[in-house]
Amino acid sequence: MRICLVSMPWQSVKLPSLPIALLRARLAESRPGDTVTEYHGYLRWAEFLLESSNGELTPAHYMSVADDGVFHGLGDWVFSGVLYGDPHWRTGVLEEYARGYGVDIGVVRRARSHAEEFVERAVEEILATEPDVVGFTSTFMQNVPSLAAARRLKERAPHIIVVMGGGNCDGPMGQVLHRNHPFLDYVVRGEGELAFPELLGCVEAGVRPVDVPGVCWWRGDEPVANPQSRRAVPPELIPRPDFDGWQRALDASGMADHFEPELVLEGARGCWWGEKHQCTFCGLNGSSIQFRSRPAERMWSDIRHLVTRHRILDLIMVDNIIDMAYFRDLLPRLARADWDLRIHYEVKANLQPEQVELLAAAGVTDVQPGIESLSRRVLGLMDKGTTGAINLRLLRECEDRGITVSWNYLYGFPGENAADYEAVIDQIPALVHLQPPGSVSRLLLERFSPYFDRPELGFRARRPAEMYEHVYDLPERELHDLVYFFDSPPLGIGTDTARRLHEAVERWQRDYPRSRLIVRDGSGDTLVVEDARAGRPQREHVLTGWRAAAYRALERGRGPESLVKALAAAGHEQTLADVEDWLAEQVASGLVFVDDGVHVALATRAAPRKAAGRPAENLKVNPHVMLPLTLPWDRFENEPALAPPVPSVPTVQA
Amino acid sequence: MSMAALDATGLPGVPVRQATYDHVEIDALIELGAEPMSTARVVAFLRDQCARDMTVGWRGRLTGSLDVTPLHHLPPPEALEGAAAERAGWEESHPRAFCHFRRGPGFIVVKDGRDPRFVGRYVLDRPDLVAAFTTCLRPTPLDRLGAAEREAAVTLSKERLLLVIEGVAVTLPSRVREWPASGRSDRPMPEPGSASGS
Repeated sequence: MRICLVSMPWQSVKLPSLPIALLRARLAESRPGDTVTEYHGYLRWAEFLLESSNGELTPAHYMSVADDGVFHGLGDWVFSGVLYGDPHWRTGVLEEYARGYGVDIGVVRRARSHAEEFVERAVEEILATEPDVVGFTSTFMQNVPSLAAARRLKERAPHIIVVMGGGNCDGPMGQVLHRNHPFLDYVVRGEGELAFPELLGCVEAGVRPVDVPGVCWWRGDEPVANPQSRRAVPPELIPRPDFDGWQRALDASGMADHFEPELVLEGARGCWWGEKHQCTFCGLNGSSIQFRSRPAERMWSDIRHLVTRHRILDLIMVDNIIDMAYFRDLLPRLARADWDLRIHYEVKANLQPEQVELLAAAGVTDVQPGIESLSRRVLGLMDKGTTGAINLRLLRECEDRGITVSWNYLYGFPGENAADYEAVIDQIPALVHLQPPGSVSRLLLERFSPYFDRPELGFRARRPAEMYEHVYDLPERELHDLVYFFDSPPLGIGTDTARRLHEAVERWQRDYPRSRLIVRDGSGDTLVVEDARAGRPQREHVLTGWRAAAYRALERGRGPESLVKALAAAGHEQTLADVEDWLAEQVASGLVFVDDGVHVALATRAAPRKAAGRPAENLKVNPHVMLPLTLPWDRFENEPALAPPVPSVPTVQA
Repeated sequence: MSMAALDATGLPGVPVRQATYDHVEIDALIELGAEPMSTARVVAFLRDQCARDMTVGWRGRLTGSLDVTPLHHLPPPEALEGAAAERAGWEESHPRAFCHFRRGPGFIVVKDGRDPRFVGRYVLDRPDLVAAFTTCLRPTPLDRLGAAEREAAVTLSKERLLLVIEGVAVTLPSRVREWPASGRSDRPMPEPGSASGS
C-alpha cells in the first residue's frame, strides 16, 4: 500500500515531527512492502504564509501563534473557517474573547485569510503522492488544521482511507473526534506503534479492525470504538526516529534560513514519579503514565547517529521526566564525547549538585524541573515530591552551571491559603539573582489529571475552556469529551494575594539580568558574599568562623537542629538559640531562603552570562497554566533605569 | 580582587591577571603584527577567553599591514598605538560581532556574524578541513601541515575562519561552551519565543 503521513500546523517549525519519524521507522520494520511518503504541512504552511503575505507573515509570526496561541485556540481558529466552510465562522466570538483576555489576534486574522488556499494546495500535494491511506498526527493545535485537510481530502478522493491519531486522540477525545467527523474513517487512540500497522493490515485485507485496540471505526453509519489497550508499547518496539524525510522537506522549504533547526528525541515515555504519586494537576501523560525508558546504550547510539547524520547539535528531549539511570549510563558518556550539544530535558527538582554538574557537562543547557511553587505546603497539596528549599537549591545550582531553568509559578490549589504565599512573596526580593519563573498563573484543569478525574479533590464544577467556542462547532456535551483544558471556579488564594505574587515576580523578571549574589572563599576561614542584587545597596558580607561553616552547610538546606549537628560535626559547638538567631539574621539580609523551617543558602559560586531583557525561552508552551498568559513586560520597558548600586562598607559577621 | 594563575599557554611570558570572576587584565603592551607567532598567540588567547565568557582588558600596538577587521568578535583593546581608527572600529563592531564554533561527532559548525549584514553558517565535515581547523586552534606554521591540510587552511583563511600571518595560521572562531541563562537565543538568529513541540 501507499501511505502518506501528515503533520499539519501548528507544530514547531524548528522541529521535525516525532510521530511521523517514529511511524515511518516502525512501518519500515513492520510493513516493509508499503511505500511511505511524508507531508510536512507545518513547514509548507510557514512557507506559504511568507510567500502569500509578501514576506509580512514570517516564520517568527508562525512561532508566536504556535507558542502562545495554544491557550487561546488561536491556531485552530485560523483553520476553523475552512473546516466549517465559512471564512467568517465565529470571528465575532473570537473578537469578543480576545477583548476579554487582552489577546492580540492581528496575526491570526491575517493568517486565516490564507487558510483556504493553503488547504487546497496541501490536499493537492498529498494527493500527488497517490496514497491509499493518509494518516494525520494531531497534538495540541493540529486538530482543526488536520480536520480541515481531511475533510477536503475525502471530498476530493472518497476512495482514500483517512486515519487520525496522536495525543489529541487519546481516550474519549478520539471517540468524539471520530463520531462527529464522518470523513475520518479511523481514529487511533493511544500509542500508534502497534495499532497503526495492525490497522493498515486490516485495511489491506478489507476486514473491520474489530480486534485492534483503541481504534475507532464505522459499522455502516454507527461509530464503534474499540477499548484502548492497557498494555503500553514496550520500549524495544519504539524504533529510532527516521528524520530523513523531514530533512529533505526542510532543505526544500528554505525555512532553515529563518531559524536554527533542532532535533526531537525520546528517551522515555510515562512518568516514574507519576506512577506512584501523580501530580494532582498534571494530565500530560494521557491515558498511559507507565514509565518506560530506552536502554542508555540505544539512546547513546541514536543520539550519535542522528547528530552525525543531520549535523544538528540542538536536541529537545520530549520525555516527561528523565530516567535517573541515565545519570549513570548515558550522561557521563555524553560528557566524555565532548561535543558541544545543547540539550533540553525535563527533570525532577530534587537533583543533587553533582547531578546538575553532570547535566551541564553532558550538554544539557535547558531543564524544565516542574518547580511550580516555592512553598512546601502548596507543593505537598500538589503531591509534587519536592519542597521550596529543594526547588531553591536547584535554581541556585543551575545558576552556578549556566543551565536555563524553565518554570512557572502556579497557584489556585484547593487547600492553599494566603500565608503560604506571603512567606514566599516577602522573600522574592532576595531571589532576583536566580532565574525567575516565566509566568505566574492560576492552574488550569487538564483532562487526565487527578484534579479532573477526582472531582472530590476540589474541582467539582468544570466546563470546556471558553476558547473552544471559537474552535469547534459542537455541543457542550461533545466538547466535554473532546477538549483538554477546562474552566473551573477559582480555588485557593484570592485576587489580592495573586496580584501581590504577580507584582513580585514581575520585579524578579525585571531585576534578574542585572543581579548577582556570589560567594567566594576569603582569607583564612572566611567566606565573602558579594551582593550585587538589584533593589538593594551593593555590599560585601564577610562570614568568619562557625558562621562561614554554617553558610556552607546550608547549601543543601537544613533546619536549625540539623545545622547545629552539622556544625558540631565540623568542630563548632553552638547552641540552638544562637543558631536560630543567626538564621533569622541571614533571612533578614536575604542571604538565606527559608520555607517551613528549612533554610537554604542563596549565594551562587558563579554567575552565568544572562540573556538581557525578556527571557523568551521561559515562555515556551507549557500546559498547567491558566489564562491569561500575558506578561506585563511592556510596562517596564520605558521605565527609567534604577540608580546604580551604592557601594557600602562590607558587613563582617564574626 | 583575587589573583589567580591563568592557563596562559597561548601567551607565554606575558603577565595576565584575573581581576574578577569574569574579567582578566593583560599587564603588558601587546604587539600586534610585529611578529607572526606572538601575534597569533595573542589572537588565540583572546579567542579562548571569549570561549570562557571572560572579558579582557588589554592595550596594544599595531605594526605592519595586519587587518584587524576579522578580529572584531574578540575583546577590543583599550588602546591601540598607531591605529586609533582601527581600534575605534573594533570597539564599535564588537558588541554585535560574533564568530563561534561547535564541535560534533566528525564535524564542526561555525557561525560567523562579524559582518553585520550577513550571518554565515558553515558545516565543516571534510576531514582535511576539520583537521586544519582543529590543528590551528594552536597557532601553527603552515609548512608544518600536510599538503591536504595546508590547502584546507588556505580555504579556511579565504573564508576568514583562519588568520594567516606571514605563514602562521590561527583559528579565529571561539568555541561555544556556555549559553546565556534564561534564553536559547544564540545571537545569530534571535527570534521571539520558542517551542519544544506543539
